[in-house]
Amino acid sequence: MVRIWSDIGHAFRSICRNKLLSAFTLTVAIVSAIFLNVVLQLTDIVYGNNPPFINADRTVSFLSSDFMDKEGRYVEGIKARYIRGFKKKLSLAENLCVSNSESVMILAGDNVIPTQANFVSGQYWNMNAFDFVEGRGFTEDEASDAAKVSVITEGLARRCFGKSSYTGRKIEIQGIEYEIIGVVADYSSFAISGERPDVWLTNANTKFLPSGDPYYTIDIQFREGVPKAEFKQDLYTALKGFYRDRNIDIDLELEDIKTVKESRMAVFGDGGGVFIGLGVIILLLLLIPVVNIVSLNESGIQGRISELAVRRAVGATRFDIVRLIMTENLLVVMTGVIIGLAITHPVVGVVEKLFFGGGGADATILAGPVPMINILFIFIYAILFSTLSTGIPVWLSTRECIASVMKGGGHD
Amino acid sequence: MIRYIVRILWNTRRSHRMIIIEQMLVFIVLSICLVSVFDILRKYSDPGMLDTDNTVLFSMMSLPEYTKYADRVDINKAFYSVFKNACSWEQVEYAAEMSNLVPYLRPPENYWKDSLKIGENKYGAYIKFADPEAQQIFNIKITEGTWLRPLDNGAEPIVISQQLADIIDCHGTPVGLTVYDSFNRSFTVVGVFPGIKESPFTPSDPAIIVPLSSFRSKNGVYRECVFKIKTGTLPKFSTRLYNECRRLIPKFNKINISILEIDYYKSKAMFPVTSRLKLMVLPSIILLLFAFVGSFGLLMLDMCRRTVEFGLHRAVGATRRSIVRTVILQNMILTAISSIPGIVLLPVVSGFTLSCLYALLSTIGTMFFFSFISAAYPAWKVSMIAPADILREE
Repeated sequence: MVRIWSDIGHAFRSICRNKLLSAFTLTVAIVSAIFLNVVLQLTDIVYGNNPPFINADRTVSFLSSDFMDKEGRYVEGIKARYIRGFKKKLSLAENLCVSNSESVMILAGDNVIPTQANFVSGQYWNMNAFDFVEGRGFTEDEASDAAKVSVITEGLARRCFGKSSYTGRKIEIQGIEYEIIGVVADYSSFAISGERPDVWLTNANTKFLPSGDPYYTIDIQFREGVPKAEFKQDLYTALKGFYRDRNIDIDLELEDIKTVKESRMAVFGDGGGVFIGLGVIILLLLLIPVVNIVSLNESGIQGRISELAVRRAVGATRFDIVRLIMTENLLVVMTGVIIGLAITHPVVGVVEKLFFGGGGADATILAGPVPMINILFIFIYAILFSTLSTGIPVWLSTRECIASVMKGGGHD
Repeated sequence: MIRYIVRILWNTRRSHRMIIIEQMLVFIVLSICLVSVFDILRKYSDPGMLDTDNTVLFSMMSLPEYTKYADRVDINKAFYSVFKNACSWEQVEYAAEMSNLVPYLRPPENYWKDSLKIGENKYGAYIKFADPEAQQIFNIKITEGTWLRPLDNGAEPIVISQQLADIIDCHGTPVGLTVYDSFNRSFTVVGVFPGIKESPFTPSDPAIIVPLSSFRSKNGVYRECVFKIKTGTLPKFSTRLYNECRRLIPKFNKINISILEIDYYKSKAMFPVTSRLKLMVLPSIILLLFAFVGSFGLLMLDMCRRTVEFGLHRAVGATRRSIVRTVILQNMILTAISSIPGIVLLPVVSGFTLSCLYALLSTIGTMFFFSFISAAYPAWKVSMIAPADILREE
């Protein structure tokens, strides 16, 4: 214990002596932690089953007017009145909901705000796990009765009403007044492959305006434990059968049917290559400061070789020397990682405002707390980084002959 | 001097290998980012970008399923009244009704296209309708002839895009040509404009603009008007216009009204491209700074080790300026060496294009600039050493 405190005290003195190198290492550790955290969280959002879309890998979503016949002509979509009958053709479906996303204007008090609205049926709230900070979602009965109720995101609520309580307040959309019955926490724009909605209304209130496309998007959630190939086959058979009953042979392959997760991955992940490419660039560019720090540490250790040789001469082992130098470096790197993790969300918030504002609904890159597994991974990275950038150069320097070093025979 | 520096660098090549590898990586990544940047800039600066600063789209959409014919006639009349009222507000500089002209609202293929007969040949072109004030709103330059002006012979005037003018077989100027649409309506070309880009990064396609007056709909399901408003007046204008619509338009809960800056749609259309670019460029810039801060640190350490050498140089007659020049030149030669792989690889990877050339030149310029900056302080520091003090220590 005494030894540990002694090492830490020595490390602080050494850090104060080499302020520039320590500041550079600290900055690199902070930036690396932020970048790693962002990439890990984005990977999790796109590839995982995180809230609000916790069933993304067993839910298939398709626009019911998106089918073509064998001649390449669009066929009539699945009208609202046929959807219940269509569901009966599915033997493996657990839940089904309909939605219609439209760009609308919200009148809230004196503010007129453009946003994206999603007109959904009541099952939408059972199929997904939105984090309600106030109130609740609407029920199936409220949806089918065209109740004038709405759920909005926290971000939109703040833009409309400032900081206050929101449930019970009124907003007007397309000439109809809706009461806010629920407020959900903001979620990442990368969690959804299309436009991210900020307000949800009951589907019976939709007039399919301004898109003019009078067909719903149908989300079908299949039973848990059913293999993906099976439920895709079930849906494929149901769609083919539905159109065959209308004497239409639609041009549809099994591979065209994608789950919500697969659609998201196609836009942001493997297919879209947006942040796989970003991840590669970041990884590649993290090498650069790492290379810098390795060189700077190597040079710094060479500069202290006499000091280390004197320590060896008075009885310190190679392990003691390595432990001493590693403690200095680990202290700086760990401090940087902790600061980086703490400031990730504020920094990402600033980046969102400066660089991603104005993309329709302002983009939210990250939302929610940092998962523990990310923190663990980043700390392991920090230890590895410290070991490679400092441990190896110092171990190699301890293999120098003490006598020749003390005579002034160190090498460049 | 260069030969001397190259010899020094060769003799101490082991200690410089990290700097070279690092600067090589930075060069490659920076140049790849810049190729994308210049490519996108080139597409963005293609002719046909309309001026959409402080322009607001005011549109109305209704569906026959929800509004009867008689209601739509009333809705259209009321919509036009709201538009006419708003034209006289103090926030409004110009106003015009149009159809199919406002860019960025939908994918390019969803704008209305028709087949035009000019002479013996047929051409596909986008058909756009607008009031004459549209020219002032979007600042549409006329490169030949005039904007939409009434003709003495009563013919319907149109202006055509440069892209259409380039493909039609007219000997000399296209002004004065007669054009027939698929409904056999005839028009006379009175002017040529540079083009209209439906999306910021796609090139302009052949298009014509026709006066809206003859085609204004009395019971349309969709109407669009555009206002050019004074800077900073959008929130007040939007709220006032929306409330005016609620007051005057019947069946308000059966229609959709949009009041949005056209730049909002432009940002949306640009978002997929610009967000990718920002996600690439942002880390590249930050880590470029890191790379050169690191080089600065290494150079400082190197200079500290070589104080005796430079002290000797000063003792035998080198000036401070020559020492500074030597150090800076040394760093720039290192940068030049580390740029070589990037200069060779980039044209192979991204092709021999103008964007590639601009990217190479910009990257080389940036690298040399940062090389100079990171060497300047260490060079100055080492030039200030007193030779007598250094030699006395030895």
